[in-house]
Amino acid sequence: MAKKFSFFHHYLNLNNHDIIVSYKGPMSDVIIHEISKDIQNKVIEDPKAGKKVYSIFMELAQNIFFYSGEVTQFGDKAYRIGSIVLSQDETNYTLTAGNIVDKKWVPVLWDRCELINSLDRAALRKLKFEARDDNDKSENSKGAGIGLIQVALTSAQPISVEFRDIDDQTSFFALSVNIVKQKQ
Amino acid sequence: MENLEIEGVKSTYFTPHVKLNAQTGECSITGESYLEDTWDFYRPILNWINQYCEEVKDPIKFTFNLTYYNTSSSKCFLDIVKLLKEYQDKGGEVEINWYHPEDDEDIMEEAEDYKNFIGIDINIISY
Repeated sequence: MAKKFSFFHHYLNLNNHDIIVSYKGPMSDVIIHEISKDIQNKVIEDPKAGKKVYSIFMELAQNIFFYSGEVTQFGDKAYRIGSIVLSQDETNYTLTAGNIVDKKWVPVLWDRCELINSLDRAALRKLKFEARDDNDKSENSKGAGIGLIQVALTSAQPISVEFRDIDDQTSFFALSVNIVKQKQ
Repeated sequence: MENLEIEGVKSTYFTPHVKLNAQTGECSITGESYLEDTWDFYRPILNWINQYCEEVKDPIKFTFNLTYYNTSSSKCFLDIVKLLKEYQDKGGEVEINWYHPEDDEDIMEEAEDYKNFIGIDINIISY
């Protein structure tokens, strides 16, 4: 039997000190900007890690902005939908981003993340350079694959990914990465 | 040849301040770079550098001084550095300065990568 949704528990959960920012909805440029300012304010006491959190948030938000498979229409403008949560524990900030993707992208994204996690920093920097060097006119020219490499470089931590099938056509894609706090 | 100057704007998107001087050869990109259409913004800059290298043919001193940029922008920086490398290979005099905030190793590494993978000298200066 499905558990009844409790708004009270949802509210308590969001008020929990461990969740710094939680958003689900259309990822417009204005919303990205507003959330990014909010994040900058909330990580201000740890500038070095905070800047990493900010720049990784920007890459993850832009991934949703350009590539989410779920689209909503506002007037004559289409916006892609996704979710981003910034949470923390004593030692880490954690950014988790999720959105719907066409199933054809699942193996591509999976392999990409496996490759990224298998490389050391020097090899990752080389991969980033090579990926940028030869993707001039490809479909990913906005920089998607490179965005994930940059996320791994900036965080200097492995990225974890999860896929859940939604139906025959689509899957839910979630990516999570830690940023180690410098000041605790 | 005309100079090109673009005022930096910080709103929903961030436009860096761009100064390209055809008389002195001193060029700079300063601030933050995160644009709605990255290519639209950087294409005229690449065209200007191309024209300078073909028509003016004087020394060029290019300064990058950025505190934040997204990966799409860094692709364009790479293209600029490659153009400068081509100019240098053809005999042009090129100086590249890359400033980075002291505690931002990610911005520093970007320049190290251009330096190592393109094979051009870049002065990496922390402040």
